[in-house]
Amino acid sequence: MILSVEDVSKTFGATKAVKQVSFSIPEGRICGFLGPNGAGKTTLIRMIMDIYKPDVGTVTLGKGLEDAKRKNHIGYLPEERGLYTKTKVRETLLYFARLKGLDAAKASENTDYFLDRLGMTPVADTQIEKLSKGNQQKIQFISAIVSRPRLLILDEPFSGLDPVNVRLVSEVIRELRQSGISIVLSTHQMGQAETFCEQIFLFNKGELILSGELEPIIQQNSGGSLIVETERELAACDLFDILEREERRTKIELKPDITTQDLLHWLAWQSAGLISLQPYRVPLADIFIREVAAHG
Amino acid sequence: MADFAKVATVAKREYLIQVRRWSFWLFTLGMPIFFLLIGVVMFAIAFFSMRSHMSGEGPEIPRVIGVVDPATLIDLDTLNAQEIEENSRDELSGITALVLEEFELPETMVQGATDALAASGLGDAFQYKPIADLETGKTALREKEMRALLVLSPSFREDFEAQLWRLDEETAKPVSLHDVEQQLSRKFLLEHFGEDEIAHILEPLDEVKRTYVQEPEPEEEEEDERALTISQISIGTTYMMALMLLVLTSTDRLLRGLVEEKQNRVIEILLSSVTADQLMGGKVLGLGGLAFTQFGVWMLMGFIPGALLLRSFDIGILSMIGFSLYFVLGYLLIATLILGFGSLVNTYQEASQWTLIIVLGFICPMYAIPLLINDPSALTGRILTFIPFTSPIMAVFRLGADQLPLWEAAASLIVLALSIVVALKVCGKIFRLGILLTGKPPNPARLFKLLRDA
Repeated sequence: MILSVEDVSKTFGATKAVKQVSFSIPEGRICGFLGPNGAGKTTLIRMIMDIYKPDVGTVTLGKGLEDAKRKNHIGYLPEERGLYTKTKVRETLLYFARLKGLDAAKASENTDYFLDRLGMTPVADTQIEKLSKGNQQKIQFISAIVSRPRLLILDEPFSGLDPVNVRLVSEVIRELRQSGISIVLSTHQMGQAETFCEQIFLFNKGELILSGELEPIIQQNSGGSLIVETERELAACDLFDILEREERRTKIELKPDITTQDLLHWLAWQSAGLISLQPYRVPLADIFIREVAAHG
Repeated sequence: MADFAKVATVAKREYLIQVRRWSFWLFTLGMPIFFLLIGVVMFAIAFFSMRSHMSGEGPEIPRVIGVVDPATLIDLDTLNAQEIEENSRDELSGITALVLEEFELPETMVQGATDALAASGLGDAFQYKPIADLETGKTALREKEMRALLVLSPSFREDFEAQLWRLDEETAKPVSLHDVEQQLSRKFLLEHFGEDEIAHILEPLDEVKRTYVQEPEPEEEEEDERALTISQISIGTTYMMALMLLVLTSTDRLLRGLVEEKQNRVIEILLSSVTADQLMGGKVLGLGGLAFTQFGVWMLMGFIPGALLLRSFDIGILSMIGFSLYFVLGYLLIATLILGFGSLVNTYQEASQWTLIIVLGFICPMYAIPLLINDPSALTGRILTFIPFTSPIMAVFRLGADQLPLWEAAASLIVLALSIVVALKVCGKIFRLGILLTGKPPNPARLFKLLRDA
């Protein structure tokens, strides 16, 4: 584990921002922090970053990492972006790299590498305020990764980026993952979470209400439903219940003791013109909405 | 050590960003020139006020002494004609001596000033004017047509009765009477009376000089002797102004930088790499270093040439060490308070309102300086030397004026240092809380609650 959070709580005045949250982030994986606004994600991240101290509970780094230097081991891209607008790009990135404890040579090497990787070398000596919003977002992203931290926390990393740059940043995130960096992706974009995350943590009102590997969670929430696509409209029968119908695609749920083989025989006998048959995969957004509603 | 490396990184950036700005150099290089102009004005005021002080009453009153001489003992026309040239020379040489003594300027510089004074006609001699009787003379005194009135009795040769009248007002201090007496005794009396007669005349003159239109306060002579000299006031004021400018400009930069980082949201990125204490420490050190750079430039441009040129502008090593200590501690205290309370708000305007009370507390000793000019050991000055807020300004003024005893300096520095420890504890807590606050700043009650819960 790269990070363990144990029984952590944080209160501001009368507001309980985080309530007895415990979880661990495994090494070398991409995890998602999901939850509605006010769920306590930012407060939790700030406690992980040692910006806030928890009222109770502990946040500890994995083996071999000095907890006193926690800030050096974790890169952070906050949701509220901020840069020194009057300062030049390279100078800004060098400063952030030095603050993460890198020596001058390493800071310079990493800065140049990521500027090149993100296609920003031509603007290295340009004042940040003269860059487009998208380029400023990329500089912000580089500032989080420039130290090559062991754990990277990205809060809405794709906001403000055009599709080309979304693809570019996605590639870099996957490269970082492959190089062994653990990544936490905090996002409202469920599609992005499904694309990137291997593990998710769903928060609501300061509590961790759902966590685990993404695929098992989706399968568990999908039930035994199937999506059947046929040339002709699917007729009702005793083998299954029709849940939803959209043109030629029908979502069905098999009745007890009915197998997929039974269904295929029936479709052939009906001459329904089977095009495809696949297990239904519930969108993460549906799980999100359902869980949040269930927890008030 | 690693912790300090981050403090140093923040400090270096804060320093370099500011030192590269043209506005910094405009202010740093422009301020000594501004001070030089102020100094010239102050010097001119002091010079003319001293000249006026020497020569009697204000320049608007003609340099005339009325003489009521019913027995016609004195030939005033002849006396006036003889004295004009001599008196002018004496007057100017008196001023020259004063300037040399007070400011210790090189004689070549004084010569220029004296020549200019002579050309202006300010070195005119006293004139003696015959007056018909006492009542006419008193009226002329009240209407400021003359500076003094000498009344000789009709039988002066027999009874030696004489009275000296003068107008008593703020501009006519007793010391000015001395000049009138000198005029009378040295020139007037010697010219017209024998040595025996003069001895009789001078004795009663000491008594009759109390016969003014109004009695002056007897303590004034004593107070004047205790009052600070022009050079003491000049050095004290220079110290005070320099410290005030250094501290206030540096802390203002701190506040602007902090608010800017809160507004452009850099602060959270910084706090993901350094602790709030490291950030606070780096800012305070970086901009403190900047203030020292300013101080160094000012020393090179102003203090050192001033000290070399003016022998009375004595800036000894101990005095400079004292100034540096008060500057460092004063800056640390004000910077800590300003960063603490400034962190609670989101705009420079709001921040200025919150920190106004700190700035006012810091500069308020300026208003007590007039008290100290006449009485350097005034209780007000001593009290303000020991209050942490006010001690830097008050102490450096007294230090520059050479009126700060060593024990008072040591004690006030200890009090100041202790107050910084307390301020760091409280403001460090406020800074950690306030730095990420957005929206409306907390009121004092909520702030207290937040601090208690933190």
